[in-house]
Amino acid sequence: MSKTLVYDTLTIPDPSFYDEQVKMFGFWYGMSNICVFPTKVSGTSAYQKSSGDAQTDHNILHLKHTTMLFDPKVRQLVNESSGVFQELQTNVEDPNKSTDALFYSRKYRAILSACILAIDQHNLDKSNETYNQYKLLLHNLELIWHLCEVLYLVTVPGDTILNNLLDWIKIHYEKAENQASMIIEDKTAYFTDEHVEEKFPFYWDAVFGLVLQGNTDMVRMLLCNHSQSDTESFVQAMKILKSMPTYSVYGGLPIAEYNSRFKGWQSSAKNKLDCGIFLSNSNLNDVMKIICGEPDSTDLIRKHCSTWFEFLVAQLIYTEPTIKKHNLSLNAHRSVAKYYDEPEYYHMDSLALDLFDGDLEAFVKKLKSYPDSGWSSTHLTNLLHLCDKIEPEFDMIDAVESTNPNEQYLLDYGTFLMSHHSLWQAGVTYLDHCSAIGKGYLSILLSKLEISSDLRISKILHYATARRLHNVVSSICKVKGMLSLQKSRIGEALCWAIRGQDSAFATYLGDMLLKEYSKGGQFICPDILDNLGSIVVTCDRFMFIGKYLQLIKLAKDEKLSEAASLYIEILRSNICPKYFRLRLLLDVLIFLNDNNECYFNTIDMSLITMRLDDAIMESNEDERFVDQFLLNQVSSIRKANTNYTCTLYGVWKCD
Amino acid sequence: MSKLGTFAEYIGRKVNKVRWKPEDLMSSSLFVTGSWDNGQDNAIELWELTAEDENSEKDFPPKLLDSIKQDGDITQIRFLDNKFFAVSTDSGSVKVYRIIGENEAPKIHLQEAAAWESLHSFGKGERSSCKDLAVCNYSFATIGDDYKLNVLSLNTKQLHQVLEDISSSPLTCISFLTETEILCCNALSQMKLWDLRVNKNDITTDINNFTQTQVPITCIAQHPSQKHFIFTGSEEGDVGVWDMRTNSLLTTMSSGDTTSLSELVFHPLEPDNLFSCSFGGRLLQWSSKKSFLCYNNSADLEGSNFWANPDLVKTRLTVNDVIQPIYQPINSLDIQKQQLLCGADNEAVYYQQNLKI
Repeated sequence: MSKTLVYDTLTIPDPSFYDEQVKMFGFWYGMSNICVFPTKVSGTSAYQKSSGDAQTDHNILHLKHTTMLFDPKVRQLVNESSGVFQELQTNVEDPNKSTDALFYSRKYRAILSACILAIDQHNLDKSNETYNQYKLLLHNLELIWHLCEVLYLVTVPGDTILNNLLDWIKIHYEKAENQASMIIEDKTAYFTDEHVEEKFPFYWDAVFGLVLQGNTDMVRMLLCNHSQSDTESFVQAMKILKSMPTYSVYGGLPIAEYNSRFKGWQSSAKNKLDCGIFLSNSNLNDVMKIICGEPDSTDLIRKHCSTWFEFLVAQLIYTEPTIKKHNLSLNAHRSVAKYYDEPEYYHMDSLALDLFDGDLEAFVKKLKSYPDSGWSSTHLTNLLHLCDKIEPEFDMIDAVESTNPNEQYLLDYGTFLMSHHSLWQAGVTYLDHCSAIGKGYLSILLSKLEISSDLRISKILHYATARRLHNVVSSICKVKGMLSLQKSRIGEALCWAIRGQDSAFATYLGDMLLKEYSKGGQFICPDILDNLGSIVVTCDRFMFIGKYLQLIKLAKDEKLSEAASLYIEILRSNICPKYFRLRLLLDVLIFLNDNNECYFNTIDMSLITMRLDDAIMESNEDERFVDQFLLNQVSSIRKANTNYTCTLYGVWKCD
Repeated sequence: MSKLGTFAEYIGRKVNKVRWKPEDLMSSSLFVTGSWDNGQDNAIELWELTAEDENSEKDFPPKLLDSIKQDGDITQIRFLDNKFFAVSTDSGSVKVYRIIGENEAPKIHLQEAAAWESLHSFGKGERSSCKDLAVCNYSFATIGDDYKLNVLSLNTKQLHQVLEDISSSPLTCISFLTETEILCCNALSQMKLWDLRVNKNDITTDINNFTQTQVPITCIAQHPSQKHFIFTGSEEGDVGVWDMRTNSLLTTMSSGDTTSLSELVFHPLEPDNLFSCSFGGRLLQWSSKKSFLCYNNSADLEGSNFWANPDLVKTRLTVNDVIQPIYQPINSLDIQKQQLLCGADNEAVYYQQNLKI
């Protein structure tokens, strides 16, 4: 049986839920969203009334739970870990760099600690209930992460795990040690022969705490400080504590040898206990009972442990100091059963039990529902995945897409971050590492981001370009281009067209420029047209505009012979848009009206005449493009043409 | 050289600009950050490096002294002197703040000295972003999305000159070439030069970069001692060197990082060192200092013409990472004496105490 923890209760102020027969249905989607809707239970009476009821409004409500991760103080957790995550992924791909899972696990835990510290500093008087809750959540997370690290990432020769477990307990339950150092540092009690128990009411709590963490050195120091420290019972107790054999893998003792020594030491202590040496002080007697591993000391131990983790480890110290990792599971289950009166576990308990059981897959799955919006499950799964501690495809049955859970978690977490107005950049990092599906997600999510500021656009374009998501780039450029066009800023729109390599849009803009020119006789945005660059190559319309501008420039500079050859080139290539053909042909007058020089030969002239005929025919067919002014000019072009051709042939024909 | 290493502080907002408060003699302990893209909650913040006790050096983490909310992303922060600084925002406003020091008030804080709300706008109340701000002797120039160039002065607290429709493609950055000449860059790799003494809207010079691509120029820096050399950073990560005497592009340099450069800064006292930061998360040092290896090379005695000589640039320029590359865009950097600051999109401000020159 697992116990559910209620983190938050919310009343939905919607009248459609007030009805007795209405039940609330809902489902989760994404990382932190719940969709809730009222549904009438289809009893027979309700069914009959339903025709009249259909008119009432039933809302579908989207609930979004405010996640801890988006709090300004906790945001550093998101940002810093995304950096470490990225570093880890890069190093994994690089065979020259070592990827020590332990190193990165510690890095992640350091980030957690830093975040807890930041919250503490912000909430010095502990008055802010939210921050207190966050702190607790993060603290528990670090505890469980550390346990995972101790059990799976630290390599222990011979699998004698107890010392590592002790390290773990010592770091997270430091109350006893703090109390002890307070007592030891207070020299007055030592020198003035004051009763230390009276001065520090927590004296024996500290002693018990330390005994249960196996910290015998400090226990001895504490006992020294006691006012009765020179009595026989205390001297004997200190002697026993001093002679306690400690196991170390590198100590050179085989396990069997150590075990026999430990047993010997414990039985000699037990002898003294049975003799009643310690009976003068009941607390001391209890301490010795624990040390001797007496079966009836279990309750004593339980009384001094705040969680069953402590309880488990404390029992192990004095009953089974050389326990192997694979035997932990049984002990863990026993401890939990002994520690709780009712067989109900909290989320944390079942997480820890899964770890002790060696069931990492179940652990990771449960971690996902930890209320940190997937931060821990994503990073820890990824880490375990990279060091091959979990099967890559353990969860295939309920995975919808063909992704492994590692990727699924990355995908969920990345998508979740992308939903934030400011942290979306961190989300990109995670989606980058979900193979092909991640790229698909990115392509959709990036183009859905609100393009509120230019800075943002430049960032989005940067991410899209680096990932070769050309559809994102072109869609954003298109949107921005259209917005510019709405403000009738053709130059700006053209910039976006160039940026997005959108030749269709550029063609449209080019048409606008040419039409403006035929109306006003002047190009707008001269500064852009001066420097057209690569758009000339990618877009036919701008190739024409470029050539035409060159023609105008040459004509202006009186370099007519060069202009004429360019003119013929333009006509021959036929890149001029239909609506502009007559306008272009009108320009022939520049050359023809110059009586001093011949610029065209007969072939050129026939080309001009041919184009002119074509243009007129087209304009007759399609009335849309016809400009009356231009049509009026046709006759003058024709006349000049004829004159010119005649001149070429040396015939002078009068009208 | 006691400590080498980089310190980071996460400030809970994406950093778009960081600036040291200038100090004449000592190394500065105050700096200002400006945030961006945080919904309605953008702010400029004043930080102080604090020492743990009297004797130890001032160090990270910094202490937050003051924070003032801003309407929109902060696009630029520039100090006018060692007290006043100007801030431009996305919503088109420009504000000048004064740092009230320890000797004037019990607590160091910021005070608004002048403000121009909606300096840039499209008319009809539609706001336009103020893209960049340049400073020269208590007067400053701003450019915006509305293609306007404003010249303001802190002394008179008035708008002195407005040039309208100065470009037809988006403007990106601005810099004072001399007290009276302003240089503007746009998104099509063009530069435009105005002489403010000529009281006309006309551009004095149009400088085009006739290379194949039209990559937006994203940042601009002027050589601290040889004022005619202008350095521009592009969106494709290369640095262009321009000679403003001939209005020509001398050479382009590339670091191999092809992401957009966000800022170019010369070391104020060591002009041989140019620093750049990029969207790819790299902070680079471009050093033209003569290395000991080619010390005997008598051919380049005239060190002053280094940038004018493309061959020299190609052979002698060294590019190094200053900090470990981070995986998010670095938006801003600033150097004062031997200390470097940079701000990035992972909401962190990085600090390096003893910069190697």
